[in-house]
Parts: sequence; C-alpha cells; structure tokens
Amino acid sequence: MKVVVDRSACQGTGLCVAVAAEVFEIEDDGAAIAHHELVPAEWAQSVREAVSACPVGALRIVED
Amino acid sequence: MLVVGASIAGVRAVQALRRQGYEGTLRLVGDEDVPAYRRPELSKRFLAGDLSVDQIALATPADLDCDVLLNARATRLEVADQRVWIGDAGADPRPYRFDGLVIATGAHARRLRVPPMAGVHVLRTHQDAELLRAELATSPRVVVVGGGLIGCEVAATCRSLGLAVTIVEPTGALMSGAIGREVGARITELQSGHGVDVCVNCGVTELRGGNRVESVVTSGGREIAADVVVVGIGSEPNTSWLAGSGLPPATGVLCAPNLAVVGARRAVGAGDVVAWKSSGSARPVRMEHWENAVRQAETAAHTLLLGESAPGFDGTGGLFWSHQFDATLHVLGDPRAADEVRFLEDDPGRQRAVACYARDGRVMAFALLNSADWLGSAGRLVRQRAAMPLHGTGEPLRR
Repeated sequence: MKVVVDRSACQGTGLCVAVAAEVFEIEDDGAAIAHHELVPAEWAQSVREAVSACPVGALRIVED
Repeated sequence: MLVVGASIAGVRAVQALRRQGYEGTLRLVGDEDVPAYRRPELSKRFLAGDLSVDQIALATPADLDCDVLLNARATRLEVADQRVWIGDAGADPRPYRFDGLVIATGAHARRLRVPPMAGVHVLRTHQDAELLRAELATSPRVVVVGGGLIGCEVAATCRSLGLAVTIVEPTGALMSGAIGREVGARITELQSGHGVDVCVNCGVTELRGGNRVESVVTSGGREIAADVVVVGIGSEPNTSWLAGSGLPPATGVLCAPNLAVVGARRAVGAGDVVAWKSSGSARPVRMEHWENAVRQAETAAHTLLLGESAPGFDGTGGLFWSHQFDATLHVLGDPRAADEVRFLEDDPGRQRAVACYARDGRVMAFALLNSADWLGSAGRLVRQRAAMPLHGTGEPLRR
C-alpha cells in the first residue's frame, strides 16, 4: 500500500500528523509530506484513518 | 440502517459501516439541498470567493454505497418502535423503521435575540456563506460579533479582501473560550497586527438600524458603524426533532462512552450533536470539530455493529485547526479541561508560540501557533497524559 500527498491541495491542517505521526509531517512550507510512501503494514490502519480524516481530501491510498 | 444527518459525521458513519462489513440496506438522510461538503472551508476560501460548493464536495451520493435522501428532515423519533419520521422535500413526514440508527444531525448557529434585520448574518451552511459573500462584494464595513473560531476566521477573510473589520468579543481575548486568555492574547495580536479593530471586554447591547443594520452598540457605550454584521456566538445542537422521544434531557444527544445513545436501543450518535459522557468525567461534553466527527463516526459505527459491549470512544487526542491570515493554529486535546498553561516557546516577532496545558501537572492539551513541527510530539504528550514539561513559564489558566 502506498500513500500519496497532493501537496498543492494540502492546507496544513495537521490531522494526518495527529493520526499517524510516524508517517506524516508538516514541512516548513506548511504542507504535509509522507516519510514512507510505501506504508509499513503496522501503520496501514492509521494511514487509512488519516486519509479519512483529511478535511481537504489531499491524501490518497494506492493499493498494491 | 438509517443515518440521520448527511454532513461529515453522517457520511463517515456510512463509510465506516460499509468498511466494517455491514452489507444490508443503508439510508442517509440530510436536510440540506446539496450533498455533503467541507464545512471548514466556508469561513475561509469559500467565503473569499475562490470555490464553488461543488469544489468543496465531500462525497457525492454515487461515491456512497447507500440511498441518499436530500432536502429531507427527520421530525420525530419513536424509541420503542424503532422508527424515525422523515419529511422528504416538503412532503408530509412518514415513518422509516430502523434496525440501527446513527444520529448525526449536527448543530445550528446561535443567533442574537434581536428582530430580523438585513445585513445580519450567521455562518454555518453553504447558503449562509453565499449570502454573506454576495454582500462582501459591495465593500461593506464588517462587524463580527463574537471572537471565537468562526468569528476570527471570518474577520481574517474579510480583512484579507481589504474590508474594514471590527471584532466585538465579551472576554479579554479572542478565542479565549477554546484556548484560554494567554494564548488567546496571541490571536488578538495577530488580528490587530493585520488591521482588524479588536474590541475585547465588549458585549453587544443593541443593533441599530431600520430594515437594514446600521451600527452595533457595545456594552462600553461605543457605537460601531456596520454595513454587515456576522454573528459568531457558538452553536446549538439540532435536537428539536427529538422532543417527545423520551431521551434524557441534555444539551445534545446524551451518549455513553461508546457513543450508544442513552435511552434508546440500537441507536448511536456522532459529531456536533453528541453530548459525550466519557467514563472518567462527570459532565458530558460536546466537541464541535471536524476531526472529532470523523473519529466519533468510526466508533459509533463499530458500536452499532458490535452492540453495547463495544469499546469506548477515545476522546483524548482531538485536534482542531484554524487559518487566519498567514498564521496556522493547531490545538490538540482539550484546553478547557486544564487548570494551568505554560509557554514552551513564545516568539511574538515570528508569531510563533507553543503552549502546553495541564491539569494536576499532567498534559491535557497543546496550542501551536505557526508551530506545526510540534504536532507529532505534542500529540504523544497529550495521549500519554505526560508530566508537564518544566521549562518555560507556567501560570494559572484564565478564560
């Protein structure tokens, strides 16, 4: 499973970091990045929650 | 299964029920005229005129594996018979039986108790925002009544459009109800620094005008000329349809720790309408934020499928955010539960602040102004109820 951040859509609301701090971080420009594009299985559930929580729909999961 | 309320909590409840394996009939009922949209945009980019309601759509009915009824209002709940009466597009209400019910009817904007007057607005729905946006095109002088989250965001959007803006706030600092006076003072500085006239310790005693508003009179006796007034004084849960249902009286729908509705079988609640009674706290709380609605919907769906033995909702890690001008505020946890606040970083020049809130020396919440780099560690400290970090300066929390 991969997670993709649309950095042009990202508003830096931080919900992804609150839900899955191991995977996401807000950069200095105010938009999120994913540390692991390929999500380790142990964090798959929290990444799914982050995708569901994002209020601007900037996160997308690409299943293998 | 029936989900009443088709905004973020209702939509996420539908998605969670399907994801958690429910394969039966599912109906989503909403009283607005369009499918669910991203309400947090209304006070920001939508109001500024950059977006249409289609562009802030959350999920179209085609995306959701369920029947969607729009323009449909629940009018009555019959607990014993497990029925909800629904008036569809103005037709007479008729009963819908349910085996499982999600109550996600949200809240509505509280209004000033004054006779209706043109130029006076609230902001909750896309229609509210469109009406307000249309008026902003005429370069009005804007007075915002209430310096909470919505009021501050509307003020920032209006000021960024070049309008003259005044905020009238009864406490000593903007957003103090949510984040206390100490951090609220930073928001006051932010707004003032961008040319918003911030009138704190100021109640509203009167709106003057004829058919249309002309001025706002404050408790200090000041009369502020106004072409447009935006009232942001909080919200009230949408529970009038539950009158006569026999549910216990509460501000909102009283829910158990796992979000089962108290006093009703096979019913759960999610989102702004819920008065959530956690196992640890004496009083139920309403949490009116996007992230809370998303997570409550997930737990509520789980409870509906699993039954009353389902585990409780985790209310410790909530988060809300606010964009005002070029600043971003993140609030983790609930500062309202704290008795002490300590600035771990405070740099007014860079408009940067990290404030830690504690109760009995344990971390309850963080407010991060332009400090998103703290999100990860702040979240951990809040969830762990860690000991209050000892650097920085501490002071009792004031509201």
